[in-house]
Amino acid sequence: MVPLPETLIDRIWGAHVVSSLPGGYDLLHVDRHLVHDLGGPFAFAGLEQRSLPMQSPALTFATADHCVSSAPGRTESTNPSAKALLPLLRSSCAGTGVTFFDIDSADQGIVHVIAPELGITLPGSTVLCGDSHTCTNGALGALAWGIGTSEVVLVLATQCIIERRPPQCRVELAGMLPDRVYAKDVSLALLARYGTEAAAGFAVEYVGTAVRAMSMEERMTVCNLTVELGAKIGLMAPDETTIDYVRGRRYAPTGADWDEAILAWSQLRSDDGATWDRELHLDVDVLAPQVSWGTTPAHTIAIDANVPVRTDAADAAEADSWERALDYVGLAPGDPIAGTPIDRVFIGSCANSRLSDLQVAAAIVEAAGRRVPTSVTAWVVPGSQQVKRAAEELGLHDIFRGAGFEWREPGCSQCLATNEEYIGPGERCLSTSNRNFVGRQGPGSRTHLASPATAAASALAGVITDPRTV
Amino acid sequence: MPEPFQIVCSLAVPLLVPDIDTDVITPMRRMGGGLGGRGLDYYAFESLRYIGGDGDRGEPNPACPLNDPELALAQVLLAGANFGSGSSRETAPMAIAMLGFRVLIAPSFGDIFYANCFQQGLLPIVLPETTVAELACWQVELQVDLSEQTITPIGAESIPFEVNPLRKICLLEGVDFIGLAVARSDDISRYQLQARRETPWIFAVENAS
Repeated sequence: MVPLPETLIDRIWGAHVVSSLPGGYDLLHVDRHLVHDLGGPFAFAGLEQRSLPMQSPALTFATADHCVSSAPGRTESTNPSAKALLPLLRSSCAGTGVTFFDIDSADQGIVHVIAPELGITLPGSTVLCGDSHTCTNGALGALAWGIGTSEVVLVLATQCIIERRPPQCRVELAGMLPDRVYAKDVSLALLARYGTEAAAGFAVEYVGTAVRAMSMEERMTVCNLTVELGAKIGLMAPDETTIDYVRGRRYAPTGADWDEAILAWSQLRSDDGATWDRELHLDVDVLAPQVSWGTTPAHTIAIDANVPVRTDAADAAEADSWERALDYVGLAPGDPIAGTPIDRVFIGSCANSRLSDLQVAAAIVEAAGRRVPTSVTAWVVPGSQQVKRAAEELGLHDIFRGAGFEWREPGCSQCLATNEEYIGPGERCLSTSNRNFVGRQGPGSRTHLASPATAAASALAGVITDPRTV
Repeated sequence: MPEPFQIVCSLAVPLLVPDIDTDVITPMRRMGGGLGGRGLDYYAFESLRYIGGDGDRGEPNPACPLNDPELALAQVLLAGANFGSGSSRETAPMAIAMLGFRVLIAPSFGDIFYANCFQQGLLPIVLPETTVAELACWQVELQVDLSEQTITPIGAESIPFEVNPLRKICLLEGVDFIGLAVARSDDISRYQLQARRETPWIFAVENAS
């Protein structure tokens, strides 16, 4: 009998089934478990409460990212949440033998930046973390998704998860990106077109010429924003770009293991004739830089467009929700988004804090040849110590500082402000992060999502600025 | 670990406001050290249960059905559509369980909240909006039988409900997914033994230091 065509997601899922359970559930093996400082301490406490040992400490990696300050010269005493939570995670990791990239480690950084960077995330593996942006790791062809606290306890105790195979959605990104239009713009355009429920409950595989042309870091940005489409999982089949990226990284396989691995990884793709439950499509050829105007990532328009008016909405309910969003962000319907004055710029987060993101931003700064006006506070928060060192070797920190940006220490920082680095009430921030929800960056904060290029151009002009005009 | 789920016979608290999200159930400002020695249940539904929405002033709002003395021992909560929407906060079902509830009945639930309920030993049941409204209106004792998957209001016909078979087993046996997976540790060891041979590169980190 000829086997039925399988998708990439089916293939990786099937290879990790430990046993099938009633009700459509599978017990799945977790190859890599990532733990961070915000959820980790509570999960380890849960494990202790049940007097359960850890099943596979060597397959778990922990980092300090959500709670740490990004201030230059920071220590764990700089801010209350790091002071409260880091000692707890440190002692749990020491007690169980989990590798912990502590605040002073040369490998510390945002969990979804360091896992690929250190070769922890591998193609064809299952990767879980108690963080919704775990889908970032799908860029390497891993099946990666975010879980809740009690599920983190489950993974610590059994190295497994209990889950139902989700329906699958194929997203085709066709064409080639125009100049000064980036992966972030692709994701924001997808959200603008299809909405935050487009892939709700689905697992997404990205395909298409634009995907193949993207660097690994660009792919991570696209996979990162998959969760904003409602999907827990987003991935891309591994190819030469992936293998070149993984080769030689700290925890990547070596020797005979490596040879065997790349042979297996070359089989990781969806079969011809495989079917999807939903298909979405975006041509990127004519894409403009995108910027969000409201309070969901789908509230997005091209940077040269105007804020929508009521009559643009599909129905009264949508028009009402737009009105509430505009009221919150302090914009008027029909206004051009470009030219809107900003108070803050945040270049960072697991969406856009990697070396190539900082290179793009620095290139804009150099091309513009001007300084951030005193009315704007602009931060660059590298995603990891490795990114920071690499950027400094290239002199990017001097370019940023010379233009009036603050060059800070790695962490999640202002993306969600769990380290107390808030955007003030009513302040408007152009941010390279992934969520512009009400109050996300602090009570009353107003967030506009965009690419690092748009963020850099806007920082220098003091208003939301099309990077193509620099 | 949750207690095994027995047949529940109880009056129901009607809280039919739609879109009660996890932040209403367990307010963010009361999490993370903000509890001041008080239990999660104290601040649960704070904005509804206390006058001025302020649990620290501590004056119960008599208009809130959750404060009805007749229903103090109720184990069933009748809720509005989209109950438990919003961010994935496991404290929300935890607090509801601490208030003494075992069964939640609503026209729809937030997805993550729905899954989290089972982890806390709560049974979430989806019924049509009109049925939920009727149950609220009748104000009679409800008999909830999970084995039979029926709700029987005293003096009325049984109403069937759906529940995933695995979730049902877990509730009836008083195990959550953690207990269920731990009980399969032999299967897990066997899987890992085989995976170490087939995909040794995944496990090479075990030999690194």
